Amino acid sequence: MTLEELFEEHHSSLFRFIARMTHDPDLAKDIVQETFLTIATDWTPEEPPSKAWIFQLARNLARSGMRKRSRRLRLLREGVHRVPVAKPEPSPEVEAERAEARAALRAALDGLSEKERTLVLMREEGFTHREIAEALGTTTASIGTMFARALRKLENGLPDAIQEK
Amino acid sequence: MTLSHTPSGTLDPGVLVRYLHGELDAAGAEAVDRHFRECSRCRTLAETLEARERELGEKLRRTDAADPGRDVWDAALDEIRKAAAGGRRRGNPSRRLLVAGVVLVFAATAAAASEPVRSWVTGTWSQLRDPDPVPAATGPDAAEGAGRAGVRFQADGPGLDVVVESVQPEGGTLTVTFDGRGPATVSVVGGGSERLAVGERSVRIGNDRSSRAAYLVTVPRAVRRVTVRLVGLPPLDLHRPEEPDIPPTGAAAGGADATVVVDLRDGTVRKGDPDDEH
Repeated sequence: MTLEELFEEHHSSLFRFIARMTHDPDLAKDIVQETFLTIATDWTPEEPPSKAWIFQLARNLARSGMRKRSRRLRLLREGVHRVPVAKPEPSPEVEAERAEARAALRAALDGLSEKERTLVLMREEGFTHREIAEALGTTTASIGTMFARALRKLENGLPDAIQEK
Repeated sequence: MTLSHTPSGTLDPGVLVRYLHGELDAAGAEAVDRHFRECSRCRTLAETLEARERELGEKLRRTDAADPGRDVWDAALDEIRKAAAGGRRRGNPSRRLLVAGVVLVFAATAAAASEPVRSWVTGTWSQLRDPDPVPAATGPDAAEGAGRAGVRFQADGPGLDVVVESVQPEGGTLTVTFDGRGPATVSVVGGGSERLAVGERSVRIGNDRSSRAAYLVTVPRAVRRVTVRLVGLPPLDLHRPEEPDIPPTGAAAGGADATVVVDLRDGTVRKGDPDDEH
């Protein structure tokens, strides 16, 4: 596998994962790039890193990135999203509703512990319990219980579904 | 496999999750299936867990940030290829992108403030951070010519904050945040001499509650100036009912007081005119 192939295979899901973890698409973009820059400096085609390893590296980079940007994150407040250039945009009303839904979802996810949040978001990216346990430094057998607990915590925090207009 | 139960008699939710995720071995999954045939409570609990997880996934997808786009990833891949080829690796992208930032906070005191409001741009500007300190400025003229890279101004008290942050040399990142009352529309328009299509972003601020939202606008590299305008639709009324002698500010909205122009080349900020040529 080439480095480009590895990048193409994982960059979208990695961006999504980090953006969901950090609520900062700009930081997520930087983290994806930094992750693969790190991989590139020690790249061996015969031994490409696993998806779990890549995500774990990105998660660690995101943690340090978030500490550096904590002041900027406070300034950005709630409901930050990226407006793509020269693309059709939804109406301000839909955007406002989305921002509200995003803020509520963020609040619900922030109600989880960092491990629970990582677990839930890694599961969304299709990781197995063993991979998640490895990333969290816990046992595979505990993942099911942690996940159930996280779902229970999220139950009251999730916003009502927004209607696509 | 012996299935563990909670004190209430249902299967351990952790076991159910492992079952739903396909993490049980064949014997364990068969044991759960047999249990479901005899216990509707556990079957319902499993369906509930499955529905919650599905709901979470749907909501995550609906509120996900937009992918930065192919151009961004191609640029990233170029850097990665260089690194792999042993080329000179640049510093931390975060540091590189954060060089020469320009930050402006444009604030107006809204009706929620305890002070009477006379225009969109009032209040005391206090300097929060500046590597080259300048005296704190006050009043509506504070923004004029007072901005520079790395300087952030913030009006005291609750109000409508507009944060403009530009990052060079990759282009600009404009963050516009609102925390106040309207009704009002904020538009962000950018363009160099060629009037590039940055896109006009209008955000309506609710008039019956405090609105808080932030919008990140990517400004292409060729764009050198960005204008942030506040326009009242209908005319704004920011004074309190018990201050009838203060005229509504609707006439001022959209005028010079409600326009700030940021020059991305040198980080200067000035109050602008809506008819400014870009």
